Amino acid sequence: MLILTLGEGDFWATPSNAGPLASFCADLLRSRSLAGCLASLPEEPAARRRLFTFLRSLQRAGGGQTVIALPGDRVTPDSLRACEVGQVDHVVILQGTDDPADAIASVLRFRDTHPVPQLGIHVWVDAGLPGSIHRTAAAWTRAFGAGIAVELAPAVLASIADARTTATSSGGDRTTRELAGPAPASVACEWLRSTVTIHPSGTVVPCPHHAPNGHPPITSAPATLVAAVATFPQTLASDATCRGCARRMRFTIPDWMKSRHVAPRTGGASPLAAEERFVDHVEGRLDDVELAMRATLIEAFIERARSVATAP
Amino acid sequence: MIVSIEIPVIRGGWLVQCIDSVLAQTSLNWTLSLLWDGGDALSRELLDRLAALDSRKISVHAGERLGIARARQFLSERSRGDLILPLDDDDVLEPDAVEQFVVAATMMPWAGVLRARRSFIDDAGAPVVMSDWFPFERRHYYRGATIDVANHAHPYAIRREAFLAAGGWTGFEDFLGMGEDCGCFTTMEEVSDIGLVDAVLYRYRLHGSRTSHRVTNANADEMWRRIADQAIARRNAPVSRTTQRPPFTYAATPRPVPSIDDIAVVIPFWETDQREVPYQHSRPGPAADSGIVTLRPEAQYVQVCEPPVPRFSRLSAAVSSTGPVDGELVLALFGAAGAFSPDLVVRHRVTSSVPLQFEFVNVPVVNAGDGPARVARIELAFEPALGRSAHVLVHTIRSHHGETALLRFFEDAPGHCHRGLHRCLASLAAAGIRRDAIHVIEQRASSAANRNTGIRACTAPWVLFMDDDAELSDASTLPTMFDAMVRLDADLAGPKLLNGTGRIYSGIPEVDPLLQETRVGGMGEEDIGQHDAEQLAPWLPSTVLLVHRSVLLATGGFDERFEGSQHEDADFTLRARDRGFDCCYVGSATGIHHNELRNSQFSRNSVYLAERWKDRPDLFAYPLTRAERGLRKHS
Repeated sequence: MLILTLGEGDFWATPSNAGPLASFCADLLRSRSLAGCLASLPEEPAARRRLFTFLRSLQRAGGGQTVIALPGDRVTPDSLRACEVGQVDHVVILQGTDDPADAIASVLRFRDTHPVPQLGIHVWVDAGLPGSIHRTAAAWTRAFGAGIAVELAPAVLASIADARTTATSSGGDRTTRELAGPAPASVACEWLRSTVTIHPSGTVVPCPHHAPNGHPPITSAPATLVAAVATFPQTLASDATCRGCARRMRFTIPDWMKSRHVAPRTGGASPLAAEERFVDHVEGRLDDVELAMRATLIEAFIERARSVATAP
Repeated sequence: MIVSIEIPVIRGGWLVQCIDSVLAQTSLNWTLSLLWDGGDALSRELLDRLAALDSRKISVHAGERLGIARARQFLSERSRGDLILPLDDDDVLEPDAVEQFVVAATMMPWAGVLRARRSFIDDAGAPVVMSDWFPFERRHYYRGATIDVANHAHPYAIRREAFLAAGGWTGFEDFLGMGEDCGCFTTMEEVSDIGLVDAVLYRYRLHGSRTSHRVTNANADEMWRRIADQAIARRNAPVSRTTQRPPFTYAATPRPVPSIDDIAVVIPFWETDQREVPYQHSRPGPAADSGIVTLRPEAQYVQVCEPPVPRFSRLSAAVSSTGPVDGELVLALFGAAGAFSPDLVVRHRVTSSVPLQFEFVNVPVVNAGDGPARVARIELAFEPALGRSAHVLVHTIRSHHGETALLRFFEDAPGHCHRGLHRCLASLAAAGIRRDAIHVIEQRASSAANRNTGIRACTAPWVLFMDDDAELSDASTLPTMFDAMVRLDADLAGPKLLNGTGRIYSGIPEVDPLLQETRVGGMGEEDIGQHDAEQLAPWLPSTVLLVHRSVLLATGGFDERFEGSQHEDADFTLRARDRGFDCCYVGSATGIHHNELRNSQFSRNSVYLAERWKDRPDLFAYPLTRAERGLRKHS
């Protein structure tokens, strides 16, 4: 299990929030034997330093592995170098629909200067954006072979982009709406069995697909959160749809995250091969779908076809 | 390499999932062709929307109930990809299907059809765990007839050149045009081979409105029977079907007693205007007498020629290497054995991406007139190209005179090969072959291509392949071969071959089961009857090779990917055995091979042959007779 911190990181970095969040993380890590902490990399150097200090303190407290999530369009040799200098265990490159060529080139340049890196590099391919998912995964695999683990993201990364946009546009003080944040795109069940998600707003996000109303975002004190977290899986997993969800494997975290004591890893076979790899945009027969919804699905399909078929 | 994915469309229910699986391919080396074949309104709407994209990657056509076979033909005739990948409108491809098929097509150039595995999904797309109801293994044959015609299924990719050679898709009109895929496999295997890709690349959807539901088991059996019987007729296979459901069993039909009049002869001809100069050590001897010497820039090989060799215009040296080769073979020719300076130096570039294996490298001496009239000493050296460190090995023969290099010399002699050809034709005439039954193919192409040209020119029930530098020793050779074939119930036959000096050129063909190599037996040995046996053989050389026409129709002839000559005959006879035919070696019949050694590509072809047959160790063992096979099966 992993603590997942989304967004630009400015929430935890602000003096008023950093204390409660650090306290929450420490409690959670200790009480539930979590594997570690994942955070996004701030742009601002001072914020970066604070983040790395925070992560190192977690490491020292036995907090497990520390992971930096980097959107594909923000991967540069400098950002990777900063993570290595910051003694982060892993970097996860969040690969969305954007062309992976630049990110691949950046990692190659980083590898050239760090032939024996201490930094584990992983690529999470966006599970919510099929159509390009396999192509981008293949591009990474072709470039690095087994040298970099290419994995299916345990969550839909489009939500990260949305969250980042919101956080960036909202400026300093947050409104209630912004604190609630945009709902992540449709994802499936087994959510809390493997991952605890903390929204940039500081809220814990339950499985949005099967319990969007049953568990409203919790903004209570860390102790309450810890108690509440334990009850989530009981409710969610009791749902028949949830138990039978064909995509549940997607939300099983990678092996390297499961243990608190796994050494940084830079290679290995892609778990993509063992997982459910193809995403149907339409489940069942299209002619069984209600007309309005069918029209929406067809429009989305034509857009997907256009994006591939008319690409240069 | 571009893959044409072709979908005849009649249902719209799962078409989005189907096309999405194409859009999501890891490789973009595909084009998508869709034909609306009078299907439902939803499918028409989807195709109309796709047509409006006006994309060169997706082409959309509309027809009126052509049926599955003609719909596939319609699409294949209009697409241009190197591979044709048929897809049904309710199924989906695995994301790496295109990528894997392209890789497989590159790795198995001999395969005209590449078949992979499939899994099953339900109507909602969820996996259905079940075994495939068709086998996934190489196909089995009996004397050219396909035993397991049902051993095929989606997914498969067809190489376009094989598709064109086979004639395309045909189905049965009384079965809604179905049977096209099964029929396609049987026509494809007559011009190429089926390669297996051991990966799941396709998801077959199980749902209530599958087209296959419209075919009963009885109808399927009827289609398979028709397909099997049509294949027997096309291949002129000497069998008749004895069972009603696949896998079929067949019984051999009596074959007319062959006679000389039933033979057509195919002779590839290649005029070099050169003649071999007699030289004592020009032919390999028994293995015990052979040796090798390493050639490096600093380590030359000196060959003293006693007596001196007359001026020559080409030298062939038998060389090998332990790896790829890139460099120059340097030849220094001396008029006197004790001279300090050479009279002529010849440099010849030798390149090979594969290790050389006893390769006769031809070194042309274009300015031989500047050299000595008689060559008394030859120095051989090898200079690797810049940055290379490879060396080559020159083969030698040891005798009581010492060790001498295995060299062959050729001098200019306009029309010399024609004289050899006339010798060949004279021996055929003496054997009773009519001149109009002889097809001499004179074109600067590989031996395989020349022979295939000859095959297309003749219709006789038996075809005799002969090299233009070979001859039948006497009129009894062909009747003796026929008698042995009848006794051994074989379909291909080759005689014992002697060289011009009466020594063995090719005795009982040998195979190495461990290295999976084919070798001629007894080369260089004195002929004292040790190779006079008549027996089934694992392979046969094509210097003199008698073949029943059904073998040619079932295999598609020689594989033209073999360059020059060498090994294309081993491949052909191995393929014949794969198709359920038998080869027999007839040591009581004799042919003579003068071996002018012109366009040999030994090493490259050897590598191709090894790669081609690496998964068939069973063919690299000495075959049992049909009676023995029957006993073994019975026991």
